[in-house]
Amino acid sequence: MGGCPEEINAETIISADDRLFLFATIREAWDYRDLFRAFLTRDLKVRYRQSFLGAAWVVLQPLLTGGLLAAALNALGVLGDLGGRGRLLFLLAGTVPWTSFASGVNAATSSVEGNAQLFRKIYFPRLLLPLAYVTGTALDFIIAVIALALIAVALSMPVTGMVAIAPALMAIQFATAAGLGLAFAALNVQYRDVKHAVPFLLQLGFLVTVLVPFERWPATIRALLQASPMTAVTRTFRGALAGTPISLMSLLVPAATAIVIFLVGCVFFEWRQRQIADFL
Amino acid sequence: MNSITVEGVWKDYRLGIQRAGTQRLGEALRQALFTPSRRRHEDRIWALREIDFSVAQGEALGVIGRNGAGKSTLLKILSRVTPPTRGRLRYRGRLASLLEIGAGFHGELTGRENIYLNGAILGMRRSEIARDFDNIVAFSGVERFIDTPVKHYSSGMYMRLAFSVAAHLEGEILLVDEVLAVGDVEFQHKCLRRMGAVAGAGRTVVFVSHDLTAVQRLCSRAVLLDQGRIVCAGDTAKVVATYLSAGEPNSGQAWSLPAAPAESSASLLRLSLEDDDGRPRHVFRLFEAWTLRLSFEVRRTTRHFMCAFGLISPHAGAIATQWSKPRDVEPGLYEARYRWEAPALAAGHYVFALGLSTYERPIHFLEDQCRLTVSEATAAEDVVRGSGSGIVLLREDLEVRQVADLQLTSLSADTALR
Repeated sequence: MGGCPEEINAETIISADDRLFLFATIREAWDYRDLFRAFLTRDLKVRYRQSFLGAAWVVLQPLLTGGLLAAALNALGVLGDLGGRGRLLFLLAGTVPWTSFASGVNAATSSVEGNAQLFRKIYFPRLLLPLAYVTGTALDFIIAVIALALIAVALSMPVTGMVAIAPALMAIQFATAAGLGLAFAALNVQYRDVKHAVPFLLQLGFLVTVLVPFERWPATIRALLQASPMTAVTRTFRGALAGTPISLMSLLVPAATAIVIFLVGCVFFEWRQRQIADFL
Repeated sequence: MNSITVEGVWKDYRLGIQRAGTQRLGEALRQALFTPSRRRHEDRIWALREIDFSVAQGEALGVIGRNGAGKSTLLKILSRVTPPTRGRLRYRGRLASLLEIGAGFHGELTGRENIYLNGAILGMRRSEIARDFDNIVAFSGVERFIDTPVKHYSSGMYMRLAFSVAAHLEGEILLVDEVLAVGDVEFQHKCLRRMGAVAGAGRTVVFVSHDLTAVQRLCSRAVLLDQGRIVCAGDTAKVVATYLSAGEPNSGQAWSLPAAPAESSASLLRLSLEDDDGRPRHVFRLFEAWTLRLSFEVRRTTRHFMCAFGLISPHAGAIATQWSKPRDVEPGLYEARYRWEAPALAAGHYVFALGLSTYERPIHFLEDQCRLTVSEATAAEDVVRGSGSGIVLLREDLEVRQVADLQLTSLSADTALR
């Protein structure tokens, strides 16, 4: 939608039997990049407006969850073989990425239904809205990781490795959350069951990836989890905080899974998006 | 060169989808398993059938038709909100659509932030919004509150700000849905002028509206939709005339009015026009008295309730409005009556606007559902005094008499000069 003269006479054809052209989608999304920015700014500005603690909640949520869990699990003696600091950081290293991942998936899932009025009345590249919501939670992630790093420094745990690997982990997590969120958002337009099922699935994921240490799972499940992007993110964070050297090779398969999830989510969403206005 | 070409566009709505909004997964599975696929497609209705038309570059096309005729669906397809079921459309250049003003507005954001957000949603680049920002704010007249969250705005301010962004949209094609019906009269006129300027500047405009006055003022050509089909296309005056005469059965009957949504506290039901013998009619002679009978139901106790009707001329706009005195009403059926003793209306077609309100907020508002025709056939005692312009008919003679002799006048003028 640039104002360049050569675009003025460009012809657009919309036909009943339009097929999916991913290249055209990407190009159009790029043309609307200012809209992506506007959605993102709206999300960031609105989320914590009129709340006393504001953006501090981004840090407080995972820290409180981690702290509570540490206290509870400590009392139950589940994490017996880790030291005091270790227990807290073990849980924080899991809750910090998971909180932003889960809120990303949730926000994207409900994004289309929540903006039904917009989808019914205005055309814009539909993909941009869920992606903007996930990006918003990815920014939360950065803030939360900085807070985690500060805590690690305060507890004199190694922090350099974690900070160095964080961007890669964020990319993996973003791709996963965006792919799942897009697919769920498109499904939720037609089947509202999805928005009720997603929080449950996320709790299940939390249990599997964060709560239960990877080593406790039986070998068959471990083999499956090794390909899971969020398990990789959690384990890498934990390993970095424990000072074990990070193996980039172990991130290859999860990264590939994340990319596949992202692409499948995008394609599925694009395939369904033309019908969105008819179902909302 | 054609700016927009629509070729054989059909659009269906499956009834199941439209009614329930969404399916539950269970239903979908049951349907997939137990209903043969051929049968599944039977409960669909065609919202648009075989629509073909084109709009030349720089032309303003009006789309008119009753509620449910398919106007909004057509706009949605043109604006790409929903795809056609069959057929295709082509357009050249940037297409800006105003199906909704204030899209994406967020109450927590300030006027300034909302201008950028709304502009981006409407397809404007950030740089374009920045360039037009001062004009947008000036047009809206909310300069003082531009950094206040819009949740603190009055509804009038909110609408003005929203329209102002829309009014500054760029693009070779502008699709407009009745957004002009916002704000006070002065602002409406400002909007109409702005639209006129847009149409005059060589941009293509597709304008969908019930406001036949505005359509006639803005558009040289129009299409009339009825039950999803184009029934008439061409010169706006001709199409408007077809539209007005179509809804005019000879045997006068009451008009049943579309009910208000279930959650509304009251709903209009029926309107009829009767002559002094109590017979319902739609056509009246010049100066012939008629009585309007408007029935409505009140569903919940409503305070400060008012009922109103307005008479609108498709050529000249609003003519008259009458409100009932505000009162508190209990649930029940009501009827409002108004008798116009000697309507001084020129021959032609008129439409009614009807409304119920509480504390000046609308509960149910309808426009363009019912028509009154004043026929030129006059009662014996009436003399038609030419076909002068205007909508108010003057009954009294314009008397002419000589007041002085020409000689005398020129003489007195001479004296006065000296």
